[in-house]
Amino acid sequence: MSILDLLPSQTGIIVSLGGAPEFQARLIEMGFRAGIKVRLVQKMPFQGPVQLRIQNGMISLRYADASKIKVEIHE
Amino acid sequence: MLLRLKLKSMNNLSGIGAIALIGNPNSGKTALFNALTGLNHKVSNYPGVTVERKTGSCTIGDDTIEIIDLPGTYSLVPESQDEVIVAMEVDSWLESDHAPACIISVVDATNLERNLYLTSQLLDLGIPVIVALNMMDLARNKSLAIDAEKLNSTLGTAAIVPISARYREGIKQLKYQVAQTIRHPVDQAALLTIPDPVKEAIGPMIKEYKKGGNYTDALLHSYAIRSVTTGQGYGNTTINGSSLESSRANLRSIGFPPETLEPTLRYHWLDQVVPAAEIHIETQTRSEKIDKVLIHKWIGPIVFVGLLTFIFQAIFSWSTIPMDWIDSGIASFGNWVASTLPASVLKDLLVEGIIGGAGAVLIFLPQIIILIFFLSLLEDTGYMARVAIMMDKIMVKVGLHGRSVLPLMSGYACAIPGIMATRTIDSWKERLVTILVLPLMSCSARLPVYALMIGAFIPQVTIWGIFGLQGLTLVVMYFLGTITALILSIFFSRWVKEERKSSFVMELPPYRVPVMKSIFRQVYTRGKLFVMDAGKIIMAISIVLWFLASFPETEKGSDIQRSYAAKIGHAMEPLIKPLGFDWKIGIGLVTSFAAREVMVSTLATIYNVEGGGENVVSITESLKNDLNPETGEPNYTPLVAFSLMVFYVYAAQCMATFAIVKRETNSWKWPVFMVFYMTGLAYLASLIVYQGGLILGYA
Repeated sequence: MSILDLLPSQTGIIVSLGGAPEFQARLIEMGFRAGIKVRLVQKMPFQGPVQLRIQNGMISLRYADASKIKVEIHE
Repeated sequence: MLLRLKLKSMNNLSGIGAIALIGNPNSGKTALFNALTGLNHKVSNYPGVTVERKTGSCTIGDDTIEIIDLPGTYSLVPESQDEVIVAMEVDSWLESDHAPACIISVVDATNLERNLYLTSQLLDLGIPVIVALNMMDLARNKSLAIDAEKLNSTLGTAAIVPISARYREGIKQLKYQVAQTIRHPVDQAALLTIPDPVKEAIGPMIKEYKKGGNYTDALLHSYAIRSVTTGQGYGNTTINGSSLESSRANLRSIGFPPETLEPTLRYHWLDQVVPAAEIHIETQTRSEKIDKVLIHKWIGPIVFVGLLTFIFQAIFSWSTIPMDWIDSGIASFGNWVASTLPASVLKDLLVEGIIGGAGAVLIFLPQIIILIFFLSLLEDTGYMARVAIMMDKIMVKVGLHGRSVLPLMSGYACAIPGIMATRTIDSWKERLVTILVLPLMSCSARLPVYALMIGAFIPQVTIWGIFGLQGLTLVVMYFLGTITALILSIFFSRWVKEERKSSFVMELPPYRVPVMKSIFRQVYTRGKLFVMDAGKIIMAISIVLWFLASFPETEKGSDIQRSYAAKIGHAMEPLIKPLGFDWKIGIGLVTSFAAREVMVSTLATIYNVEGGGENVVSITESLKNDLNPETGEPNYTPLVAFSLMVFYVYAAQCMATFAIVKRETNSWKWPVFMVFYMTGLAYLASLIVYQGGLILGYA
């Protein structure tokens, strides 16, 4: 499932990243990588950016970019 | 005391290289820079406040050391212009012998691992690295205990010093460690561990760098990994396409995507080095709870529009009393000068030209202070970064970027810092379009013009019980500029060719209670700039203008209708009459090319000359009472005021802006284009307002 399928405030564990390789490199630099917990804080309306908590940072990504991050639900 | 003695006993530190501050955006580099140097550079709670290299000096013991503050970056592989500045600076150190004596890697202690990513890149450079573990005040609140000693030995940094730049804690200890490090530089940086299969796979690239130059092992591996990752050469080595391709093919065959090699390897290493306790995910934070309201789907936009309306209303309603004080202060000062000095040309110049001209503009200081105060407040609390994400969708629709919001809103204060702030936008196209439309955001130099016209011609009434009509008119002017900027972006973005697709990875800083001292500092800086401009540009122009308006003298003394100024103004009339402007405004349009607020001082000087200089005249009253000698009708009507305000919304009238645009776009093409499109737009819009108004029967 994609990170966008999480419910607001739900936490998932990253399975894989996606998108252009250069963009993936930046995502990893920002702390996104397989095995890391990420929480979907909320989504902006009309498929606007999504707000994510990763480790102790709060990062916003565009809807299309976020949709390529696959996660599984963290119990 | 002990520390002081220790520092004094040390060898002389002068003659050594500088110290550079490097860290993630919003990690507090500039706050630390200010604490070290005693300077007052702008600090805020928005990632990407610092967009240029700045230097200052710091006293350690008896020695003075140069400190370099650089923009924030997440990585030495840059994405946007501000990050390119850091990467280029670091490259220049390695290529020349001007390397700093040590690097202070500023790390946000509350987000340790991600911040240490950049530190790990710095450790490979062969320059001693001291980690300043910043925001310890916040880390303590979150009860994050960090074992600095242990971390220091595993990372191989020269020292790790917990500090809080915001509260100036730990600065002495940091200085002490800097002195120690410079005096006893030890290369103890831990080597990035590269798994053997990877090392083997990128063998061709490592070989390339071994041939290419005399690098340390750490730097050699760092360069080889980065080259495989980005496909570019580093140092003074140009890479060979075949070794790149074979390295990449080898990596793929062992299941390693080459394009993400460097970050993957470094995090692999950091995961082992950074204590696991620091990598946990927090339970819902206070900022998260605030965000649930402030950027909520529906509440968020309402709050944003509400805040903006409140600010523009406040600009008008809160400023009335201090403006009256300044007004009467200047008037009584002018009258005192007029009654004390003997009649002479000098007295006339002083009263009519300088006090009348510069004074007319100074009155607007309170409004500018209120505007800057609120803009700084929005930024300092962390709210502006939220506005960027709320607006990103709309911004992309019109060809801009979520990161265009802060530059555009800074444009309400002044276009110049706004244009500088576009450096954080990673796509050239979106950056250029932001720059091109940014001067349409009504800057504080337009405020005196709007305020004068509104004050004179818009009645002070309240509608719907809460909105002042004057404040609302001001909102309309700001809105007009803003909406035009957004519409034009759509067209401009179609013409500009794009090199690559833009991305949006925006960090949202935690909400913080703003530091009033730093807000007042920003207000003071901008207020001072405004007053100094009034002091210099406006005074110089007022003097020249006074001469032009007072001479040649006729036998009856000076007659402004026959002055040089009137002649110049009348010559312009055929061009500006269709807009409803007379020769006085014509002169103002010419003089405002130096700066927009000069329009106000120009009108003031003209009226003061006309008034004969016995008293400093009220420019508002003069405008209302100015009658056309032939028809006896008022020269200025609310329609003329509107036409003039609309002209000022659009007109290109600021030399300093064009100079910055030339520098940032590195070409004359764009500033020239800007002057033409803005002036054309201003003329057309004014023409439509005035002629349309006449047709509709407003005189």
